[in-house]
Amino acid sequence: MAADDQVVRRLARSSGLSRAEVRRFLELDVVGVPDGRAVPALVPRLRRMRRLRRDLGLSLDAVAIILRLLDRIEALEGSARRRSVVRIIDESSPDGWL
Amino acid sequence: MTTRTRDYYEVLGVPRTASQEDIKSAFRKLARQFHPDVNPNDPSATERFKEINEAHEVLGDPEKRRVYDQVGSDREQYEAWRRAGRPEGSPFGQEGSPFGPGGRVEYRTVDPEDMEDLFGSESPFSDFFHDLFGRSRGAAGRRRADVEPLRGEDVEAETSITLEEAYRGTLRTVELQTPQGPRRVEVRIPPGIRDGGRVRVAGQGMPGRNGGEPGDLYIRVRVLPHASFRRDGDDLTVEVPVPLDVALLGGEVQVPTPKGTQASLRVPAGVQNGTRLRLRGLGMPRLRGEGLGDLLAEVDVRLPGRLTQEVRELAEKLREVRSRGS
Repeated sequence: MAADDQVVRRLARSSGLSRAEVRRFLELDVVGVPDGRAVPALVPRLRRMRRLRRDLGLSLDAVAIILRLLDRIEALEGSARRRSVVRIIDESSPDGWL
Repeated sequence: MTTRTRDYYEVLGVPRTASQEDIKSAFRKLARQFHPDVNPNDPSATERFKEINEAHEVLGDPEKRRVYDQVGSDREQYEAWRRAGRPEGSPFGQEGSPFGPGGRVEYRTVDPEDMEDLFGSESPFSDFFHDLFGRSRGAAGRRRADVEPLRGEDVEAETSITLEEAYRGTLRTVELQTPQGPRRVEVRIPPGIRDGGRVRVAGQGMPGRNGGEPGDLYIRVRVLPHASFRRDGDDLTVEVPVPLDVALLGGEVQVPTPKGTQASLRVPAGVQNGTRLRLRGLGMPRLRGEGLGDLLAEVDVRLPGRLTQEVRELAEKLREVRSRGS
């Protein structure tokens, strides 16, 4: 759902990005506005995008590409981490139960 | 907070005559390598970036750079003051710093929210920086990460079970390594689970922080292939040997079931090889819903193993009948 002006304004104010930058990131689909609402959980992601842009001197499109790659890396690392802390103790249970 | 006292110009790799543009460019070059936003979960990169960030905060702000160039680069004097147990007064001599240890620093290149996102609630700046420029209200003030409830992480493991276990349901004991030590959880795998299915045990993942809810434990289940049964959803297929006479004249054969018992199957006369005969309600339990799937008995017509004289005569008679076209 397209974000309206008020939502864009609110996200821009909370993240320190300009409204044009917020609109561009929405267009690039690296940040979604569920049901057109400016949910607070989006703000840390937008702030991260602002830092990448400011500290690394990246274009909006480059930030979007990096964000997608970082999302994938974080998903893979998260999956490995989630698996590394668990192990099955009794692998075989031939009789099962009823 | 640390006691690092490296030269800021050295940290950024620029000469003391560097322009503001050179400093910005050197910072960006290093940030691309060490910035925590592009190195998540890498503590060594974060530590390195703290140094880079501090050097940039000083050299990237002309006013702080001027003070640093005038008094702050006299590291010997500063180290002597620090070794003496930080006596009253400025560590930087009579001229001192216009900011000073008791003053309030204003950050020019980073804001407190960004610092907390990147480095957590503790100040990323060194003692040297604070002694030279003072402290920020924000640096020690907001402790968002320490007070907000954080949900524990979900964890997952994979296990393999036999088809018989998938039919009956089974149990697995799982051991989790948590910050409080190992914890064991018994997980019930329900009857009828399919290959690749996930069992969720709510609240048995990693513990939450600051009163947050614990995460969930997921077990991904692999159902091993079976020597006799092939599975398609809740239905099972099994090959059933049918003697030639039963195939021709009809009769009854025994069919193995996943429960480990035998079921009687009525074979119609003239059944063809490969025909599937359905035994309703003898397949796998339905995971969501009532009852069970079906068991499909696939007819495997078996010819007599040894051709006795009697069987040969019967076969020749059969050929004679077939060649007459009846």
